[in-house]
Amino acid sequence: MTKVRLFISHFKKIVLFMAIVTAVIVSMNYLYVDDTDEFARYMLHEFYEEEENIDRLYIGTSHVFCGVNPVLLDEINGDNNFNLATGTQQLIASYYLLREADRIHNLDKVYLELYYDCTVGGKGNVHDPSTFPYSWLVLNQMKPSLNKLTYILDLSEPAYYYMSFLPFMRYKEQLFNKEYVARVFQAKQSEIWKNYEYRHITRVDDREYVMKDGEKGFRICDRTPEQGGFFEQKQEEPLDENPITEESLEYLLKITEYCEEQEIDLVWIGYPLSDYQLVRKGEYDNYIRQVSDLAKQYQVPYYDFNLCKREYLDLSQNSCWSDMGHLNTAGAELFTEFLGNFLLAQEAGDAAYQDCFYNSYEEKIHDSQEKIYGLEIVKSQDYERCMPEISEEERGKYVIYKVHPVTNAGVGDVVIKASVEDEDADSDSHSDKKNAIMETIQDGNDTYVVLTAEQDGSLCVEARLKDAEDVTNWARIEL
Amino acid sequence: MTTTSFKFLIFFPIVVMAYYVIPKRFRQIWLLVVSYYFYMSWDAKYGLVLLAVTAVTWLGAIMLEWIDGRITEERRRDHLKKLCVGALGLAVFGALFCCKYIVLVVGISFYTLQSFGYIMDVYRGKAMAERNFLRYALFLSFFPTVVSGPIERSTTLLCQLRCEERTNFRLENIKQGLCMILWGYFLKLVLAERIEFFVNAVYSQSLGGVYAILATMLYAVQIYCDFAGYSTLAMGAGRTLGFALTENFDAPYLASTVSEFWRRWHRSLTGWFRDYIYIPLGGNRKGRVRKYMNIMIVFMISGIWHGDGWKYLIWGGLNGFYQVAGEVLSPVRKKIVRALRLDKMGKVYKVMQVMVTFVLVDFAWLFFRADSTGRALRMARAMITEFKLSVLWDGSLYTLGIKQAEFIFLLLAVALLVAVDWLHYHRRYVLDLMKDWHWTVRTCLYAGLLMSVVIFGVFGVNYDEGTFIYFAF
Repeated sequence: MTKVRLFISHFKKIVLFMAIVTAVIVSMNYLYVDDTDEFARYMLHEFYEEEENIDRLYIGTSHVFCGVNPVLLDEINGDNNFNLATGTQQLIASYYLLREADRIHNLDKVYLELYYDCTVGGKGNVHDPSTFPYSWLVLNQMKPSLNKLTYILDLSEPAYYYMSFLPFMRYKEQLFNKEYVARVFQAKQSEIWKNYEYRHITRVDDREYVMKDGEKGFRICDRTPEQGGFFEQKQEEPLDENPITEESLEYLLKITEYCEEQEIDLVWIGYPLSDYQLVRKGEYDNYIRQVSDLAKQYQVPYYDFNLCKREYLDLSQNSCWSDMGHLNTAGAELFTEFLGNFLLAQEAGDAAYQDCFYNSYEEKIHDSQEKIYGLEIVKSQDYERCMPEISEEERGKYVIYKVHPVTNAGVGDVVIKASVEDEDADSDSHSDKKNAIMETIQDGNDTYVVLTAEQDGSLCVEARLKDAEDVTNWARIEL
Repeated sequence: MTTTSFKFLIFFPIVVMAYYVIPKRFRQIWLLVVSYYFYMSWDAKYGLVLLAVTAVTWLGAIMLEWIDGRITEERRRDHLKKLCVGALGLAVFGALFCCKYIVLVVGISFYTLQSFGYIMDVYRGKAMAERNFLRYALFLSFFPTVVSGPIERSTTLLCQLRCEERTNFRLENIKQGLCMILWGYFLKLVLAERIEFFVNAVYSQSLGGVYAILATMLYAVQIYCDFAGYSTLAMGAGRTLGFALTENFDAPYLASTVSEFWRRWHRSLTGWFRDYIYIPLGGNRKGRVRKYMNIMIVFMISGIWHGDGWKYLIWGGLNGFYQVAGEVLSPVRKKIVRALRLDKMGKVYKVMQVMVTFVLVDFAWLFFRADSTGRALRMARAMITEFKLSVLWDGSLYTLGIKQAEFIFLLLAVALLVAVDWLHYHRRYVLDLMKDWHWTVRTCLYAGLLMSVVIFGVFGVNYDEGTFIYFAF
């Protein structure tokens, strides 16, 4: 009897202790974990709420939730399609989301995105602490399960566990920041957050763009690129010969083996990216080649829709894109319809799409009409080329910008003009200010723009093809 | 591995669980194995140094006991002198060795003192030489104490190791031990680590005025929480395994005099200096002048032990000087008290004494913390020449590592520390008091303490786990 009483006494204490600890953790997570602008929260909630069996699962990055509309696919293939993609989803996340989906549903087909940025370089190393936030945004929304536990243990060294198990611990820098806590608390009081809805509003100049939740993990976005086209202010490193990291390969193999064991049909997919992004990146064929070799090795179908011929799928117009990597709703509709029909044809062994792909991306670009896809404007230190006559001490007085047109046009076929505009200047001196650029130096299609360090205002760059009358691309940089 | 590292959070529960699962006769061997693993996790070769010191002192003690009774008192004194000279030589050798392997200072300083104390106790006949080598090896290498003390005596820890009953499982030991560990983490991770941001910001820029005054006051709290936190952790770990380790701190900042402060601060080291240096030098038995000299010698040695810079010598010297001056000026003080008709038993007088003692001790900490003596003197001067009270409310205080809300939190945490120390000072221990409280209140307090460490503690992947201040000594 005494032993029973002792046991009950200890049990009560343990229960109370655990209840307090849990209550504090839940409260801290509520106050500090900012998932108020997180699409994965809405998507995974809908996933867990899904009552009907999911037949076809689409996993990958934001390209998937922006480009694949499962409701349209339902109409095309008559199955239940679901989009389980999350922002910058690495293959470790894809693997555990696949397992989680397969735990709840009887999956028939899985379409895995292979995006170079999440499988090569820094983001390709799934165990690199700088990439943990991409996993945490998935883990934050996963329900407690063995998959979630294994994912946490697998993701990092033990030293990082506390941040995976206790999400609020990632926000320690905000511990005493009252404004932050108030903002998160207020955002979580909104009906949108409480009802698991998603709204993201972006303001560009006077226009307002809204991204919102569609159905089954699809994100609606009606934004189109600014007039003047794409431009970026940083340089890209081209892809190496075999760029996929060991860590990504490990999880790619795990996904493949898992699907084989569970008798799930797996398809690897390269989702459409804008030509601006791929041409600017450079050597995309290296990536395609490596994935194709792997696909052959593991006997998995692999389709990269960036190789698609324009007569089958034409996404070359900027009006299909919300930004350089993501389709907008109009583009998604075009692509989803094509994808649905294409996959059905492949399953049926239909030869309708036999000739729809180029052999390489280079071939596709070469075969395309000459175009300036966008601009890349970066600061340059190439004083030797632009100002060989000045001493090293004098270099501080000048700033050089390199304007690189991202294009398939031949060398010398692009014309670039640059000018400086001073918004504060009065109307009389405006023209002087506009032509205040010291020098421009042409190097192939690239142009180097030399400015004095004191110059203020905006650098305006315009580009057109040599034979074209109108300027097709322009950009403005605040100096 | 340190006690605040993630590895320790895995290591310790495994040690405890295995300890109580395996048969009793293997428990001390298990502790010895894990203690060496813990110590050698810094570097495997350190284990060899520890083993060598253990073997030499174990054999030495047995030999000492063997020759005891076979020699005259005169020869015995001669032997003692040789022993002291030998120990000094060993210390010099150790110091030279440590120049190459600075981290070794960590272990050598604490377990060397412990082994030396054991030899002296055997020599004086206060303790019997331990015949069981493994038990003696555990006495020196016991993982909670091996890195930073407390410096245990043969009459305390070694005696407990001889008593097998100690290794029996008692739930009360586990509960109290875990509670102590939590409080240790609170002191170290919540208070000491957070205060460090401000102290480092002020001292690295050698700021003066209110900044320097506040930083030096907070440094007194930081070094206390840092070392008392470690000691409490060690005591908690020891208690969990069934051993009662020496309490290293006894509400030192509530002391009324500097000599009382030193009876309450780092008690195991102060006691060691008293028993093995101050008393052999003659203590207070050879007249006033010798007593004052002995105090100065002990505190100068203590300063040197803490580090090789002048600043440590000045710090030790200042603490010795305070005590000598306190005794010399005692008649003058008494006259002033009588003239001012102060009630020596009154609370106001007591509070004043505590405050004056804190200011004196804290002024000495200024030298201890500053990068050099020159910087310490510059900061001391700047405390007066750059004194501006306005920094307390113009917001500039909150640009030095900790924000306003953090400051308020720190004040509350320090208030909690003072309350616990006040109870301790009056021999009312929180753990004992809590026994009478309702279990729901106790459970809430345990959970609250755990969560406050988790939420407010400074730790994690970017946290340098090896930064206990006393690791450097």
